Parts: sequence; C-alpha cells; structure tokens
Amino acid sequence: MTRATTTLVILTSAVVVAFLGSLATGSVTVPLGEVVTVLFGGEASTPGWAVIVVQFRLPKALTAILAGAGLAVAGLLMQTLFRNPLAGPYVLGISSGASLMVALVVLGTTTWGLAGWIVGDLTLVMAACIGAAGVLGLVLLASRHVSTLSLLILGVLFGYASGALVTVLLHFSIAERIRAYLQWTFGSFGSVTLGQIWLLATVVLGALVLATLLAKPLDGLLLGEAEARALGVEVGRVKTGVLIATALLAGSITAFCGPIGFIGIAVPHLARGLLGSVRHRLLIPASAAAGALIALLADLLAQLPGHDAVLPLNAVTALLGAPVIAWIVIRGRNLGELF
Amino acid sequence: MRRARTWIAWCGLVACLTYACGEDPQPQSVEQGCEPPDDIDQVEVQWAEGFSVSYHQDYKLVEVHTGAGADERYLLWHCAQPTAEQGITQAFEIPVQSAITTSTTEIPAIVDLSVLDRLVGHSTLSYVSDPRVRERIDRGELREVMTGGVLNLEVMIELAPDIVFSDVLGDPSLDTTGQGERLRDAGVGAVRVPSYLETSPLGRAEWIKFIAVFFDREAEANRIFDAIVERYTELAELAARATERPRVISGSPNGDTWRVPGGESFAARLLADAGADYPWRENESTGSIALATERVFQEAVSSDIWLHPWHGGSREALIAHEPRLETIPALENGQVYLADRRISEHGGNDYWESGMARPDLVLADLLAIMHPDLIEHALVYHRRIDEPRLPGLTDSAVTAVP
Repeated sequence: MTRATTTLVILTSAVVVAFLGSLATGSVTVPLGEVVTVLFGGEASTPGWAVIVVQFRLPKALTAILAGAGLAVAGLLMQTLFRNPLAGPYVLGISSGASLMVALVVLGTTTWGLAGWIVGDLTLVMAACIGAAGVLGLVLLASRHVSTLSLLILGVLFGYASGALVTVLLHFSIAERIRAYLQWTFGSFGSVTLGQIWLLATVVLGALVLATLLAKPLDGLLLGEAEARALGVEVGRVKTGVLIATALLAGSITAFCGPIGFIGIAVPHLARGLLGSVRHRLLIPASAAAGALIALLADLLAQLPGHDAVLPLNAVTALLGAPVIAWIVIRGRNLGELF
Repeated sequence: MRRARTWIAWCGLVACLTYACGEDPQPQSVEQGCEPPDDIDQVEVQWAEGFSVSYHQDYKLVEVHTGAGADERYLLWHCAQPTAEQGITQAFEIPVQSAITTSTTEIPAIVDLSVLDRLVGHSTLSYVSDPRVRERIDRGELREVMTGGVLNLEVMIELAPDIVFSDVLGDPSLDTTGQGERLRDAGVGAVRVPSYLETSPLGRAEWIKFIAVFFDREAEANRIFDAIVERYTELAELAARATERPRVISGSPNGDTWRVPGGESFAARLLADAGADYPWRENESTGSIALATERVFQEAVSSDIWLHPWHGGSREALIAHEPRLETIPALENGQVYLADRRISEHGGNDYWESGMARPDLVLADLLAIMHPDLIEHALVYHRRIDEPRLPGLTDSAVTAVP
C-alpha cells in the first residue's frame, strides 16, 4: 500500500472507532451492551437510555462527522483558492453573515413574547441560513468583478463590519439574551435532532461531491491562476464551484452548530502533513476523514465522560487544533512550499 | 450680539449647575431646633447574610457584607454627623427624602414601607409591575435612569436624590466603570443592595429591613417581615408533613448544556421547603450549574414535575425549541409550571418584583404544585404550561402586604 492509501485507511478506521466511542460515552453511563441493543431497536433496561443513545448521542455523533468533514474540506478549498495557509471556511465572511443574523434574532427582538421561544430553536437555523446565503450571493456577485485577493480582503472587512454591528446589539441587550447569543457562538453538535439531520447531511454531502469533482482543476490552481489557465483549467468556473461548495458547507454547518472554530484551518495542514501530498484527489478525502475524527474527539473531550458538565466545543477544538498546527510547523515543513 | 447673549445664558446655566452639584448635601453642624426622633424601633437581622445594622447613641451603622473585598459601611445620622466612626463608605442624613431604585426587587420595600412618594427614578420603568408605581410613572413622576443597559449618571446627578439603591453600583466585579464612586463624588448617595446573593428566600425578603433603616421605617419593616416569616414557616412545616415527595427538575437545555439550580441556591432552598425531591439537592453550588443535557434528561424521565423551563411560554414553543423534550413525562402529563402568570402589559414579570419580597406566596405556589392535597391555594406567580397567561395586571391586592 502507498503511504496515501495507508493514511486514508487508518483515518477512516479511527473515525469509525471514535464514532462508536461517541455513542458509548457521555455524562450518563450506559453499558456498551445496552448501547448496542438500543441501536438495533431493542429495549433498554432503564427508561431514558434508549432516548439518550438514539435521540441525543446518535444525531450528535453524525453531526460531528458531517461538520468536521465539511469544515475541513471547506478550509482546504479556501486555502487552495487563495493560496494562503491561514485561509479557512469563514474567510469569505459567511460565518459573520450567519452570526449577524443570529445576533439580530437573539438580541434584536425586544418584546417578551418573542424572547421566550425564539432562542435556540429552528428560528436560529433559519436566521443563520439567511445570513450565510446573503453573504454567498454577495461573494458570487463580487467574484465576477474583483480579483481573488480582493475577495479575501472584502470577506475580512465584512467580518469586521458585522462584528461591529453585533457589538452594538450586545451593548443594548439584557444579560439573558447576551448569554443565549454567547452560548450559540460557543458551538455545539448537540442541537441537531434526528429529524433535522437529513437536511444537514444532504447539503454537506452534496457540497463534498462538488468539491471532489473539482479535485483535478484545484491541483492546477495551486500553481497560480495564469499557470492554471495555461494548463487548460477554466478558472472562472472552478472558482464559482469552489465558492458555492464552501458557502454551502460553512453556511449549513454554522446554521446548525454555530461558528465552530479551528477545524477548518488546522485540519488541511494535518492532512497534508500525514499524506505528504498536495494532490486534491487525496487531500479532500483525507481532510474530510481527519476533520470528522477531530470533531468527534473534540466532542468526546467536551462531554468530559463520567462528569456531569460539558465544556464549550469551540474551546476544545482550539485547544486540540493549536498543538496540531504547532507540531506541523515545528516539524520543519515549510508551509509556503505547499502553495 | 445674539450669540453673546446665548453665551451668557449658557455660562449662567453651567454656573448654576456647578453650584447645585457642588453644594454639600450633608450639613456638618447641628441644625437649629433639630431633635433626633426618640425610640425608633430597631431591626434585628435573622436570615439575611449580606447586611447587618447596629444602633448607637446618635447614629445607626449599616454594613453590607459583600463576600469578596471590603465591606461597605454606611453611617446614618439625625441632626448632626458624628465623627466617631472610622472607615465609613458614605454617611447619610436620615430619613432620606428622595431615592432611586435600580432593581425591581427593591420596589416592593419602597411601596410597602409607604415611602413611594420619595421615589424619583428607577432603572428601566417598563419592568415595573406594581400598579401604584405604574400610576406615578403614568403621571410622569418617575425618571428612567438607565439607557442602553447602562445607568445614566447624568440623569441621576440631575435628579440629585439622597440615595440610590443598587445591586450593581460600587460592586467591583459588576460596576467596572466605577459609576458608584463617581456618583458619590458628585454628592449622590449610592448604597449596594446585593440581595440577589442571598440563598435563603426569607433572607432575600429580609432586605426590606435594610431599606427601612434609611427611612426610619423599622417598625413597619418588622411588622411586614415577621408576618411573612410566620406564614412561610407554617407552610414549610405543612410541607414537611408530606409523606411523598414529588421528583422535580428545573430549567431547559440549550444544545448540549442544561443549566439547573445548584443545591445551595435560592431555587433549591424553595424546592426543599416545599417538600420536593430535587435531584441536585446535595450539590454545593449557590448559583446555577451547567450539566450535560443527557444527564438532566435521564433525571427528567423519572420526574413528576418540571419547573421553569426557560425556552418557551407554551407547550408548542418548548417542543419547537427542543423536540426531544416532548417525551418527558411531566410535559406529557401537563405538569410543567412557569413563573410568568403575572406579566404586566409593559412586559415586567412580577415574580421578579413582588415575588422576591413575598417568599410565603412563592412557597404557597410551590406547595400547591407539589402537594395539592395539603393546601388550597390559587397560584399567584405560577401557571401550568397549558393555561393562558393573564392579560396584564390589575390586582395589586393579591400581593399587597397586610
């Protein structure tokens, strides 16, 4: 087996193990035998266990896989498009758009009647989707008129502007709303129910297929737009495809899980380091698998097995992701060489 | 010419304001013909842990124990300010003649001690429920002193009250911009009322005595509070007789996290006194604790009653927020109770106003929810999730103290 195949096999197996581990562990101790029984439709010996495993842990683990894989691939696409090792799924301002809409919903409503039910339910998902889609539209429109680099700058500028608006909203809000908004920004895989997960799965899997179809021209893009054109790559169409795939991934995942940090930036570097290759045919599946694995592990850690409390997911992904990048950088691989 | 006149008018205005602000509100010498009132009743603090009052020859000393940092010490005097005490945070000539409140929990004391006519401002007027205060608001007699979630110092200094009661001002962790200090520098009295830190329901209500000493209303405070203690104790004794204790969960989840009251918290104390079996009664936190949703859910499936879910004022809204809650037996049986029966037409929730001053009524509610066979009581602050909310408040008599 080549190094790439071995890496992919190991990563995929690790995802399967982490997935099963995620189903078997949590604040409530459910014996492994009972977990298996319940998963195959059997009755649990204690009331509540079946619901906990099937309705809480299963959708959460599936969401972690989808979100981890999606964010990692979105990050990879952005790093290739912008030929910038610090690009991530959110550089286009998509999460800023989603955050702004969520802030408007959570912090901007003033009457008591709304405040009671609006926080945390599907309303937030819809708000985030509208915000992400709005930014996507702007990005696609702008991409026809400005260079790729300008697009990056516009995305960062939009982030600052929306951040400023959120600050104003926070300033005029009451403590409970501020807490609800902060809670959303902490990120969570646990809010998606079994009934909602098909929607997330359809969008994420669709975008991943689109990314895979673009693997070959993306290799060309790594050489620079002019060289890619010389190689016969239709740069404009590839760019549009990459933007659509990224926006769908970042938008849908932010909508359901909140802005999950770090996975999108860190995992593509991890995948390149493990594979020793920059070919997207391998990098895309490797990033997806590594992203899913990191997301599952981060969620496992956040759940603090055997403990009653949970940690904010974003804190764990960053604490887990930072050493990964540090390790790659210190190992002497010059990131610049890859772009 | 016109510009010069405007300038002169401006300068005059500024001079007047400077004079008004700079004037020391506390005369240092004995006032002519001033007689300190004799035999004022004294208050004795029994339940609250956050303050103490001591009576001396010609002054009262009130101390607020903040838990962290130095205590605040207020010197209250009649006629002439004594110089004996050291380390005084601020001195007040009493009875104070004008006051501002910044939390709805301070409103009931002002009303019940019959000093409502001395209230000149409140933080956010729309949160106030009491109809007697609302009447004054409607007549334009109260100023709003909070804008954009921040106390407006300029408005407060313009109102120049003798005292501002506040749960925030002067608290180093909450008043990060030092507003309390600046108010005091401007000659306005600012006292801390951290009653929300009290973990016993009677302790929180006992802060009526704290407010009373500034108005020389000790006798009224004692009468009101003693009656509340008597009724609360009777109800708790009644609850203690219950043979079965219903299992109760509280709050609602946000994704992976479900916050519930800590075992030593205000809410847990009420549940214990109401004869409930609360799964986290052994927990030592005085605030709320963040648990994994599945952990609380496991308790929820074997619970009889579910109190105070935060997300949703109706069954439909709660399920829309988190569909997985639908299978919780307490919700299926309609045994979910919200503390929002008394929402005023302006949006204030009277539970966080008169409810905090009337723990006996809150306990009666909980007792009626836990043990309907032990007490006949129409819920005051709570409603079952399937009941409609009251359309505004009209019945101040319900919560009026005897």
